[in-house]
Amino acid sequence: MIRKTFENELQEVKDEILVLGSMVEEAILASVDALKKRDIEAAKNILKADRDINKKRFEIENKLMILIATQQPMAHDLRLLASSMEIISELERMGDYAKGIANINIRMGDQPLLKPLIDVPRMAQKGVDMLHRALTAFVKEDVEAAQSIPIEDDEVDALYNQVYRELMTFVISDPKSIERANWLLWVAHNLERVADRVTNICERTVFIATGELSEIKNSDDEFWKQQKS
Amino acid sequence: MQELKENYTIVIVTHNMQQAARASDYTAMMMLTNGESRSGTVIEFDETNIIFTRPKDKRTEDYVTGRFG
Repeated sequence: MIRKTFENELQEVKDEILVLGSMVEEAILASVDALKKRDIEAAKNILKADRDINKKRFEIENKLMILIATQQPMAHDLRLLASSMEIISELERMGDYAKGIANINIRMGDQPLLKPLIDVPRMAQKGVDMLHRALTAFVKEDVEAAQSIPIEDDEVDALYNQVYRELMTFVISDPKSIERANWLLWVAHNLERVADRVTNICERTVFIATGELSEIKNSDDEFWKQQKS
Repeated sequence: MQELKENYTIVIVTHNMQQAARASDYTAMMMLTNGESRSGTVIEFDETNIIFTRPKDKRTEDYVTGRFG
């Protein structure tokens, strides 16, 4: 394969990752929307969408393996292909969070939500927005954007803590609400993890562009700090 | 070669990137430069694992990724 063909193949990998990213973004938003409306059918569709996400991830992984084997990539190309392997794994896990939210929706059966969802959809919107821009930064290899997006994780952590505190007040006033509170807490936890994984994607983008592999921001530290205060 | 290198420094001049990456501890990138009569100008020298994963000079990057040569 000549260099030009290899360049096209690399571009195709990036394009395919964008497609996978869109599938994940859609699944996350749809899972929260289905929960908000208590739409079990929509939740079941998300389980199906997750199978498509997993399939797409394996397709890209296979393509990456073939490129690594046949091209023996070096330097930037090697960093791009190795990081792409990592990024598709992060995306697939984010898809699992959407599936997790859909499963909670299904398990809740005909029980109503403990409270109307306000901050939870905000968390989903913020996480998806961060993911979208992180993938744009990945495709453009935009170091500046990749380094700044993870800082926004604090906003998602703050929303999570708000949801946590609110749910605790329900539990304290009515211990029978514990199961329903726990479901929503788990949903919020899944969304909080989405933003953390966006940070991992940004770290890989910086690595592809510069060769420097380091943590941009230890989001877990910040998360636990907020939990304590 | 692995045994010999315990006591000797071995220099291999090659165009075979896989051989250079597999067999050496250090790699020097050399090339003819425009406007100079002398050949074999050292462009970059570093540990092999750095040259093949994150070289500093764009010409090294372009060569090890097959953009020219």
